[in-house]
Amino acid sequence: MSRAAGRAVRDAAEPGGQTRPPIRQPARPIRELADPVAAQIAAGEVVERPAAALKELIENAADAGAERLQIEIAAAGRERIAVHDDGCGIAEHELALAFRRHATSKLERVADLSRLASYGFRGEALPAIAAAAGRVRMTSRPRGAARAARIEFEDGVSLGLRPAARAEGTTVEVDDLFANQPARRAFLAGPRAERAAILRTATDAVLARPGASLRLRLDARSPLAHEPAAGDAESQLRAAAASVFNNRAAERAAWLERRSEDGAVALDGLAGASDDARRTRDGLRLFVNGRPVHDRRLSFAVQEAYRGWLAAGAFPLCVVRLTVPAEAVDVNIHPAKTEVKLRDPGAAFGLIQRAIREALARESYRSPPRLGARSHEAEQPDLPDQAEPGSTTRPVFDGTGPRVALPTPVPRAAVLAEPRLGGWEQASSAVRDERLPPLRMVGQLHRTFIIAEGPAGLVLVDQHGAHERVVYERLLAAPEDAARALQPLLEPVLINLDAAEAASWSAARERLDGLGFRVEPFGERTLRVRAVPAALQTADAERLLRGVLADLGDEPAEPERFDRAAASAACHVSVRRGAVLDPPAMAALLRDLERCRQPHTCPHGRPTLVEIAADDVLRRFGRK
Amino acid sequence: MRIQTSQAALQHGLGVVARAVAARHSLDQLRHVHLEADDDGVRLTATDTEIAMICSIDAVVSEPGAITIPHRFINDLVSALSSSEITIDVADNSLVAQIRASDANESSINGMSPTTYPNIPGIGDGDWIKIVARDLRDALRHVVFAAATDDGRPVLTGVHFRFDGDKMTLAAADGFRLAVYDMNVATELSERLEITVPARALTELERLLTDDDAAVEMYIHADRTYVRFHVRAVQMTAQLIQGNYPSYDQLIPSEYQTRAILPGSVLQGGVRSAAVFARESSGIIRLIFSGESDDQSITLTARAEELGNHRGRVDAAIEGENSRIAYNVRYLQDVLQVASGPAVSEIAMETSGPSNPGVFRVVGRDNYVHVLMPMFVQWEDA
Ligand SMILES: Nc1ncnc2c1ncn2[C@@H]1O[C@H](COP(=O)(O)OP(=O)(O)OP(=O)(O)O)[C@@H](O)[C@H]1O
Ligand SMILES: [Mg+2]
Ligand SMILES: [Zn+2]
Repeated sequence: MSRAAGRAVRDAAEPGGQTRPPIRQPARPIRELADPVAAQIAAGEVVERPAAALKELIENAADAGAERLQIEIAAAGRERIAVHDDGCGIAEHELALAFRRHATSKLERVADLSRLASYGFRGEALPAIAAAAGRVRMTSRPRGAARAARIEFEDGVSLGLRPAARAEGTTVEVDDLFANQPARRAFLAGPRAERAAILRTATDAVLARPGASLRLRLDARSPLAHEPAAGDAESQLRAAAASVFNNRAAERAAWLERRSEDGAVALDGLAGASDDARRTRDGLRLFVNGRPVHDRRLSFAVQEAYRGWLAAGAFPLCVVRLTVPAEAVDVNIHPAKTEVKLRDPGAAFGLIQRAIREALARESYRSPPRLGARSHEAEQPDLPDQAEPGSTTRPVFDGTGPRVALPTPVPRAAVLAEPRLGGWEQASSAVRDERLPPLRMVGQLHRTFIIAEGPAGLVLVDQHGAHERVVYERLLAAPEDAARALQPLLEPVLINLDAAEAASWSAARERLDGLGFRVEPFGERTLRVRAVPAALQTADAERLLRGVLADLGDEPAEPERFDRAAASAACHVSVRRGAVLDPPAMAALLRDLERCRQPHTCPHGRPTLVEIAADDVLRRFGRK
Repeated sequence: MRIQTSQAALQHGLGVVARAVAARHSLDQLRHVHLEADDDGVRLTATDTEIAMICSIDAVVSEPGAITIPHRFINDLVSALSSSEITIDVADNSLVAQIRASDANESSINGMSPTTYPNIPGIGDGDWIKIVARDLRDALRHVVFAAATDDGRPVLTGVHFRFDGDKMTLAAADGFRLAVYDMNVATELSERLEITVPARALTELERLLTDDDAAVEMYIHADRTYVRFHVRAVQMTAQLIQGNYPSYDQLIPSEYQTRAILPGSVLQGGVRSAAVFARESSGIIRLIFSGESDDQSITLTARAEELGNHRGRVDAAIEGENSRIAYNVRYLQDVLQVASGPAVSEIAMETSGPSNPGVFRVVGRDNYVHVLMPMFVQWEDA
């Protein structure tokens, strides 16, 4: 079937799309990307924002064995990014080669990096940066060489080599990063967001390699200056955490160290105290084989392990570094290498949970647990989250007859009883959840609530919030493969954005990508939507995306904060309040809600259901 | 106004127009049925402003006139009556309908002035064509389900009709799928014509169509704003959706790598079991086509996180390479429902790899094609 074969070849090239500039072609295949999804993911961009370029330069320095890095950034990276290192350098006659695509030396030089494979392996980064930027200079003096040499590029064209003066090591200077990518520049988030991303990149580098010193000059400020500490891995990581977060947090965090039973996976890190919890996920840092990764399953594991220790809406400060055999992980699935695929995510998941649970328990014996206002729970840190609105606030309808003033709130556990886990061991052995008992659908109220009967009484379920919760969990906690399941559109949809939407998209693009959107810039302020997350099941990609962008605004990107993007996306595809639902649809929604891990609240934290205990009803009828 | 009719005729008429009553609308008129008697007979009208239904009933008109009365009320009353003869009287300048049944039941229902009832637009001197009811019903069954339910792009919530000579082509698409059905019609229009009819109106029309040779007339308003279907004693009018319908011909793949042929009901059965699992995750159902000489089959797999996995196998004639593809189970079931209809024995599934649109056809008919975009999923290499 020659016709068919010709077609298959075209397919393999297709996911990149015809509109992509040449630098976005898939890299020299490290392994055959037979899978269209993998191909599509890998065909993205190497350098899409200043922080991404900086990451490549820092990794090159690390690969060169640098122990001192100095970084200078001007205008949030748009005007200038410079990285000085004291690594092995590049021989003069190899300087030009370093900028040739798919030229990499990493396979010979990895020997001295005993524990980890090199960061670079594609030979893609420098050529991509040189093609994008207005001017790139690389000045290098190899160890033992008598002099340094410099190569310079303007708009991707080499201006040639010339002698230069420099100590041993390498300097790369990138000016006007997006000179040749106006469309990309139009999509850059504001300087605040770009600075935040740059700081994130630099601090990740410190946590991944605490043994190297790193100084960052970011516009007029010096937000990071790390000097390595002497000592074992623990002292080194504490020093790094002190540089990245603060001294107190670094001091009182619990040291994590654990190996999987078969010894294949090792974990170390720091679990921050509950007092050091944050409002954002910025303090949650995950690394796999030295690479910072954004993996919602793993960060979910960390958050789950902290459950019961933190107030609702708080995120732990926690550094987790996994070391797995090279063949157990695939790093080539995302162009920025920020995503990894573990062959056995379940093992890592369990390891993380056990390590953190254990460390937190250990700490709680050493010093009284700091659970803030909820310290009364100290003896039973694994109780269901009492702060959840489902148990303490019991909203009741207005305007439908006499106001129902329920007597003393019944603890949720008594109404929707869940077999309570007795001891620590049970709680830590599995991800504990708070599933609902079976609910029987009775009817719809106000076109807003589903009336249901539970084992202990009447339950009113908010149809929109409940649906949101269901979609949200499908989006975030989808099985490994479904997380990547995309529903491509028959024909891509073009969306014109206004300035605010464009800024919002730049800030959110990684998160949207992680959720399963496939959206790319298509000229100035136009997006081309190629696929939506499978879990959303809506053909109206435009409305969905606009809704999400409006909700997210252009807050600085926190790549791991999938939750807000997911909550927003879930909101936009969920049944509205006011929609008439037929009984089968209501019954199905209740069934889906019963399967949720956290059925009691919608992704925005509001209750999805209100319970009225049968006893209360009897009492009000004077029968009890 | 004074009319005499049978309980059965009145009940039938009220039942037909009930589909166009806006039962929950805040405007009284839209919850009412409009009764009108003149030389042409008696007509019942209801409209929710999107569609309007007019049903003529057998009746003797002794005095012409009109009134509008609450639909639900008269409907409940007429259903409760057991006698066969019913007389409706409305005194001049009165807004009360006196309903008298032959069994001595007598009721009066308060109505509203007929002048406040919305005008149902006429069709002017537009174009019209004639279609056989059975054919139209079949066509609608093949395409209407594929129209969009989100109204982000209004034209996609409709079915596109293209008239060219004696050929009529119906198409519906929602961004993930496309269904196209060609048929010949008895009347030729003078010029090429394209209109988009709301899918909802066509769903109502489908209910009115019988599986026989009855003639259906389709009138298209001269300025292309309305369409009206005449089916026996019923007229249904719908507002057309304005705007350019996207051109779709280029979305239909012209070749394939793998083709599977099997009875639609067999595949439907296999999908039904897998769907139980697929629905729990993101609707993913995987189809693996094996074209080995000793194993010609499709393996269907689905998994539901935490709940379990499913693997099923159906025999099929496979032509071309082994291949695989993943679909959203809901869309797959939609198209299979059509393809397993009474007149259909076998369906053909064509694929060109897991990332290209798949095509569904009915074996022995070349007038229908359904294109479905697969889901991109991770495949574990076997
Ligand atoms: N700071 C540096 N010190 C020494 N050598 C460097 C430095 N930066 C780059 N090089 C050399 O230039 C080559 C090309 O770098 P580049 O980043 O483009 O590719 P890579 O690191 O091999 O792969 P990847 O595209 O995955 O990053 C490297 O293989 C390395 O030999
Ligand atoms: Mg590199
Ligand atoms: Zn919402």
